[in-house]
Amino acid sequence: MVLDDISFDVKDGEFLCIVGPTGCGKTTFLNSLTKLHDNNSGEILLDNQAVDLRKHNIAYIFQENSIMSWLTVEKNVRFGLEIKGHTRDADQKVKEVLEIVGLSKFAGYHPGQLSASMLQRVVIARAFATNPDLMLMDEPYGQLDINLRFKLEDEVVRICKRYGTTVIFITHNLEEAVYLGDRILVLTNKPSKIKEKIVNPLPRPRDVTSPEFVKLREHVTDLIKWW
Amino acid sequence: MESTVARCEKLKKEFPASGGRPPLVVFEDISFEVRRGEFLVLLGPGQCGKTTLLNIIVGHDSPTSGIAYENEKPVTGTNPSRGMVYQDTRLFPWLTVQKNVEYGPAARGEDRETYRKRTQEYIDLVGLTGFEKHYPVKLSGGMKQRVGIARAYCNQPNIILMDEPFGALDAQTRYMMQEELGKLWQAKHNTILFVTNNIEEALFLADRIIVFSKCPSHIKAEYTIDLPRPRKLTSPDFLDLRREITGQIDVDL
Repeated sequence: MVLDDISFDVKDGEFLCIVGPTGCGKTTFLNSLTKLHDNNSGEILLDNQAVDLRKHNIAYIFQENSIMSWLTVEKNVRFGLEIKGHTRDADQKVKEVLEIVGLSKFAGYHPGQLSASMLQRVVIARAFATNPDLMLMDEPYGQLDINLRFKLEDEVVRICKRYGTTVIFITHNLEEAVYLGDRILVLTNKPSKIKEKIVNPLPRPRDVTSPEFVKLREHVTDLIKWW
Repeated sequence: MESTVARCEKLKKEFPASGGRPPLVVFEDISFEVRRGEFLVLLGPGQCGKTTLLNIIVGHDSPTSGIAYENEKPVTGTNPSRGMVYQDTRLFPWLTVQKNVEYGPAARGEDRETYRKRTQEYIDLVGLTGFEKHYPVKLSGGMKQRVGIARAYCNQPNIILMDEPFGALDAQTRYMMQEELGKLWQAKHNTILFVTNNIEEALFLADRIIVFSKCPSHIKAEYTIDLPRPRKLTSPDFLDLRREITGQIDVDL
């Protein structure tokens, strides 16, 4: 058994972080949300309706970047819009999101010409372009160095708040969870249950060195540390 | 006076032009020394040539100009006196944990009883007691890397080079391995030259940090870290230093 008795709600426009020990089923959980996996029991509701990908627009950003290497940056972003049927305002939307992630100059580039962090931003732009009802992010910055991560974290918060996007963000990095989350959900080891739901009261922009931040980070660390 | 275990003198590496691309200088004018018993970290952004530099010091690769020395002798090829721990572990999948760890001394025909004892000591030290007969495929990423570290130690080298050994681990396993490596180093005080692009990791482990710029790389800054050990990732001194060094690292957005 991987996940058991996981019940919680996400509010509209909320940034919810999920943390838990390695291998506790965080990714499985996101996969259930999108119906990539079927859950054995329980219900997943979006706006009080069972999740249905024909009705609901759920965007998913994976750990390994899911860029299409044979398409330009511009076409990668447009692809997201086209499969969702937003063809009419596509030009303007592509322009807008590329500008938000700072990649306007690279619209005509192919993925092979870009750095890892740029690729991840293209994927993020592609996801946001479709105005998802729910954005799932599975450790999108897992492999990036700290200063890049800080920049991209600030960027994603800015975009989410601008579009009012509801986000479920999975991370191993507890500092990142405390930095990003309006709320933090802490899972236990397998079979995973919810250990604690923490409301993060810290005002934004957050200072990772402030005593309040450090205190919250240490609290989350203590909940998770298994060694 | 501290003695020097290894030294680089004006190292430069240039990859020749190919496929219509101009030649690429990866780094130049790299000079530094590694002192006996210290934990020295080379910190730099991706693609700044850190791995190439380690390969030159260990003897897998040669510089375009400049010389790398170990014990004041120029490095001309690999030697058991320089051990390496790789990010992708490079264990032999057909050998057990024990056989992997003792591969070096066994291949050199050393006295079996002596190296067996040592093998067990390092397997115990890295926390793999009970896994001696397991094959790498049965181990988690963190455990594989422990085997790689024990293997390097078991050769009893003068210097151990570590090339982002924890880069492929998830964040929590990585913290655990950093703590364990810190303990191992405090117990044995081997000379370690450790490469990473992770500032937190560098600060947690290093006596000294040398910061590389982005490509074409040169040495940008050097820090002596005298925070007491074991270090705490959230202590104010640690966070202050992290902020200071973060400002020195080139960002390649």
